[in-house]
Amino acid sequence: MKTHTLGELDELVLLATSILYHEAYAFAIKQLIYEQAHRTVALPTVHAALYRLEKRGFLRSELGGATTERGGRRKRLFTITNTGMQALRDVQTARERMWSLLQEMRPSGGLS
Amino acid sequence: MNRIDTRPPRLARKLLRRFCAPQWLEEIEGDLEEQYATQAHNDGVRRAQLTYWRDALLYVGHAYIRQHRLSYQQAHGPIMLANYLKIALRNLKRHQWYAFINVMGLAVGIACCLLIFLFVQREVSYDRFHEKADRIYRVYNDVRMPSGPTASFNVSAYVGPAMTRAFPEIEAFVRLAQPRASSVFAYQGQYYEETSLLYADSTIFDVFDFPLLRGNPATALAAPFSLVLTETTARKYFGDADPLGTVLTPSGEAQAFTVTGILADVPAASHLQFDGLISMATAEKTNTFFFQDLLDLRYATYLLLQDNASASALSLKFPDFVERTIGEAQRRSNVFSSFGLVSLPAVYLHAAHRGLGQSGSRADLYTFSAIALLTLLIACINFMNLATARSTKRAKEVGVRKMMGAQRRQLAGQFLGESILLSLGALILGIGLTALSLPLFNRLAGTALPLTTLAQPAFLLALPGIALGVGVIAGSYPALVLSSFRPAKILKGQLLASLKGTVLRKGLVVFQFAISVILLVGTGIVYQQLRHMQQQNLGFRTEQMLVIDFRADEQVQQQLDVIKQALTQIPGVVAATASQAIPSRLGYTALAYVGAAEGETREVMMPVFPVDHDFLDVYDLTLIAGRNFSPAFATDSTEAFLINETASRAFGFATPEDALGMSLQEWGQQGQVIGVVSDFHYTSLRRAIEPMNFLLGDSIARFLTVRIATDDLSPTVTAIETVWQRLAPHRPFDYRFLDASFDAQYRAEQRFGQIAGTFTGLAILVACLGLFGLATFMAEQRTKEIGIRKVLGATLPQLLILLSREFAVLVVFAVAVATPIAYTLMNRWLEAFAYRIEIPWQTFLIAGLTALGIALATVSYQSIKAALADPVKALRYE
Repeated sequence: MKTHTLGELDELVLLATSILYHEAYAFAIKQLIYEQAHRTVALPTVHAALYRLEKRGFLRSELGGATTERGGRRKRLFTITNTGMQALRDVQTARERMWSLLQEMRPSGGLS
Repeated sequence: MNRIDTRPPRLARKLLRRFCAPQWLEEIEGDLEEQYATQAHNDGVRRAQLTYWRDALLYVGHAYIRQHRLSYQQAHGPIMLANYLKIALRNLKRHQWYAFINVMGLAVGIACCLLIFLFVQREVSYDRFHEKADRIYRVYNDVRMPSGPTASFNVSAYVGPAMTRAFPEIEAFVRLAQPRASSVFAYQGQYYEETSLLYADSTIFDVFDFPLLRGNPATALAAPFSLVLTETTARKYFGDADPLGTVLTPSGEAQAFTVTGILADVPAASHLQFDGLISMATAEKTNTFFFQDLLDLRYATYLLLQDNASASALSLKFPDFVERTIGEAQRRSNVFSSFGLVSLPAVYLHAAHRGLGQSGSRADLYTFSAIALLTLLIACINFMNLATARSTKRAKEVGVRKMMGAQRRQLAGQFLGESILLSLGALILGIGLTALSLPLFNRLAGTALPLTTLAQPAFLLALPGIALGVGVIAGSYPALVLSSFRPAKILKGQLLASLKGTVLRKGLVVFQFAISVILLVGTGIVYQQLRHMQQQNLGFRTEQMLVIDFRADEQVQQQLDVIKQALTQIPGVVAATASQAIPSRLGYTALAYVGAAEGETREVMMPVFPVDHDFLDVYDLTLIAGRNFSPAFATDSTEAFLINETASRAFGFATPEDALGMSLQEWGQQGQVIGVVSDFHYTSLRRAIEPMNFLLGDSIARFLTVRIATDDLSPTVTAIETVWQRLAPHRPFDYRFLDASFDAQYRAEQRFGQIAGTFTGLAILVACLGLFGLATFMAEQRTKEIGIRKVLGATLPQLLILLSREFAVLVVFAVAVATPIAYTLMNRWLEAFAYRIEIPWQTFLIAGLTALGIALATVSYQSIKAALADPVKALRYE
């Protein structure tokens, strides 16, 4: 099975999508990334990342029901696919493996 | 917070809606609005608006999210393009006559435009090869004559130097002037006549770019009797030998010229044309009154201005300059000059102020350009008409394409592409036609245009533009019509009213033929005016008059009596006369002081004919009062004048008899009028007859007119030549017949008529091509109708009328439209002629009938074919 690679922003977006579960749409994702990772990402960037990930098969999307907010416009709700989840894990595994290598060499660690 | 502020910026939203891919627009707009509301609440409206704008722009800028309008075409682009091309070529192949008419018409139109473009290009690029052309100006001189009219001349010799002294903004001046007589140089036993030498100041090399190949530009034209020859002229004398320092002796003159330089040949695109230059110092030395003679207006004076000097500011100072320098003299002579400047590149086409050198006609350029463009327009109209007329033929294709999802934009693009393809083909053919017809055109226009002008980079770049432009003009309307068809209707077989846009098409045909008729009428009137001028009774004998132009050669002048004597002995020669001027080739205009009828002395500028005793008889001029010059009166040679009838009237005399004895002073001669000659056209019929006078002056004669009466010209002419070569061996026997010389004055008009006529013919040809196409199509359309009519007993004439009537009506309508326009235009053209024809109404009738005839002849081929066809076949058709 092939290992997936992810850009850092893509990883954040994927993570946020899976965290938000059924309520993952672009603005909510942007907010979450801001709150948790203290990163300001422009909305268009989030959208572009979402469409890109959907095209790669990591996300699935559907239009939500109409709301009275947002001028009555529907949200596009994203859900993570198994492949998406797998990709997240692949990235995570690779990262952990490397962290452990770093700790073996310099037990004090402490890049932070 | 007020209500409006809480809403996101409208323009940004519009932008987003316009450019964002539609499948994502809703959610993006929703998210943006949610973000906006949140941010407006937290950070304030201004920040929120800013973010909204930024994000909107980011969305639009994002390659992935931006809407891809052309995605459909892009996906199928190459395949569809190949299909378009295939269909286009198949259509051309299946309808070859149609393709032929379109391509041929456009090609002829384009070739006309290219030829005229070459011509115009040459005419407007005169004198641009001088590096300082922008700073060089020619001084013109409007002279108000005592008799009233103003005429434009060059200036007198003092003007150049005096202006340069007076105005610091003038860097240099150069004067050029034609010598009064041509020179004949003897070199190694050969005589060479130089008719095209000019006096020039040595500054000519500073001002103009006439490069000196040999010799020193600073000194070549400094000393008197220096001569600079062009390369070709020098080769005529010296072959390849080095000519510098060689002495050339003009026949009859003591002073010899030294060749001090060799010039490169003068470029064709120069209004100044010469075979050599004589130093101005020569003129200064040989003419005692060089600077004093304010009425010797032969000196074309060019000023080189300083870099930053303004010509208009300079010319404002001229009136003051004139007053200061020659004001007094002007009041004495009663001839008033006013000076102005024309920039060098404009000199050639400057109609108002002609001077030394060649000139072109801007009006002619406009006329030719208009005719060429109209021809091309007619060809474009052909394309439009044929394409829309035949639109039903392709309706099915349009229907099917639309059903398969083609958008209107694509279909329009397809048809437009087809027309551009055709016009590209036409362009290539047109260039070929231009190359083929250029020698013909050159002969017609008396030019030597090279085809290489078309190879200039600027023009090569313009070529695709021409194809594109013609394609778009011709193809946009058909593309619009064809792409507008409703697929459902077409495919259900409800064919559109078979001829869509009939009114427009009829209008266009009327337009085409109106143009053709205007051109026909115009050409007709030009030719009639020419014939009128050539057939007008000029008031003197023009036939069998041989004029020898010996260019005021002194040796000839001294033995005129002997030569005349010898000539009249030749059988077939009736008489001979020497004169300084002849009709059509005037010499001097002199200032005369006239004792007019009222007793006051009037100053008048009038042409003067210095003649001998025989002039009146040889030229068959009628004396209506008084007597001719006579050897019996010794005083005639210094005190006698003859005037023309117009002069006697102009000076206030009721009858010619009253004018006899009128005092007249001219050229320092004080005398009386001894006779009045009936009016004759001493110059082109463009000009009205004005006062003129004769005096005895064969000592300055230039022409020898020999009146012949014989059925067999050539031995007589040979005999005259033999006598001439015996008595004046150094002078070339340069002769012309008077009628030819008079006609030569109308060469410009003749040339104009020929060019305009030729292009008119082409325009009509193209219009007829279109008509032929339409007629073919109509006949095809009505095959069934004709079949049925025939079966029901319609006769051939009835059918012909049926098929031709529609076109006839259009052409008649076109004639009606064209008549007033042509009348106005041609009236304006005729105004330039003092003796002009009344525009005859027959011209319109003839032009109209010609157009109608050509149109019907064009249509009739198809009509007859259709009418003669077997009705059974016709009924089976389709």
